[in-house]
Amino acid sequence: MRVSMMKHLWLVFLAGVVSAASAPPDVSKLVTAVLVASPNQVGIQNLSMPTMEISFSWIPPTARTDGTPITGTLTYVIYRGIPGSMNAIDAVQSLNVTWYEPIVWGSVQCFGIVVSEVGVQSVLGPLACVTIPSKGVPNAPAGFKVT
Amino acid sequence: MTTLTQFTWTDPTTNTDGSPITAGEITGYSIGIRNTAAAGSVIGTYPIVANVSGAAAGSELLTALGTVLAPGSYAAAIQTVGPEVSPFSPEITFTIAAPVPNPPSNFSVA
Repeated sequence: MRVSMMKHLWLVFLAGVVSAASAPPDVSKLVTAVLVASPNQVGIQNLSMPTMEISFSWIPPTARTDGTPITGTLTYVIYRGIPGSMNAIDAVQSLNVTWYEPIVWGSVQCFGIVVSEVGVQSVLGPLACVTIPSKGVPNAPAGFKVT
Repeated sequence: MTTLTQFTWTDPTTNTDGSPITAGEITGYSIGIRNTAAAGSVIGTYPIVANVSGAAAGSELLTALGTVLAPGSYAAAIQTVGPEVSPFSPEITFTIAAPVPNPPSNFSVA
């Protein structure tokens, strides 16, 4: 596939903390996960059609807030939306996600992660948002004249 | 005086953000014309609008404007048409001259 143009919008997750509930039996013991500062990004690539590449990664928590180690398998639930209206869109066990979709020019894209240990989910972590700028309009025709 | 017959222009190839224009972005052109002597005539407001179909039109005959321009002074600008329109180009000015009768023929003295 020929790449005719490539632009990147960089979405930098502020190194933050995702609050996560502990494994049973004590769900009040919260664990933390730190989002990686790099290479968290949302990129825009114009491939055969305007396509947006979204990718980001995170560091998994290793212990609960009470200091006890995490023993269960962690699942990361990816949320997407705008602040106040986030919806789960995927659940993965990897430490990064990448997908492609048509660009929505002029939109705001926010993402957050919920950590799940053996089915017990944390609260939604801090959001990372990126604003995709409005697409430029065509330049005016040049050399306009009447003869 | 040369009779004006057509507008010509060069189609844009890029957007204002520098990205290339892709298929479907330009579906035609809009030529705006105003009589500069008319009351209230200002740049950017065009009482006469001629739409030109085709992304690579490049020209339009004055006879295809859909209106006959009376003799007078005019300004015109052009913009692209599509899902998003471009800004108007810089204006050009031109004059439509009143027709001048041909001289009488067969003039003779006897």
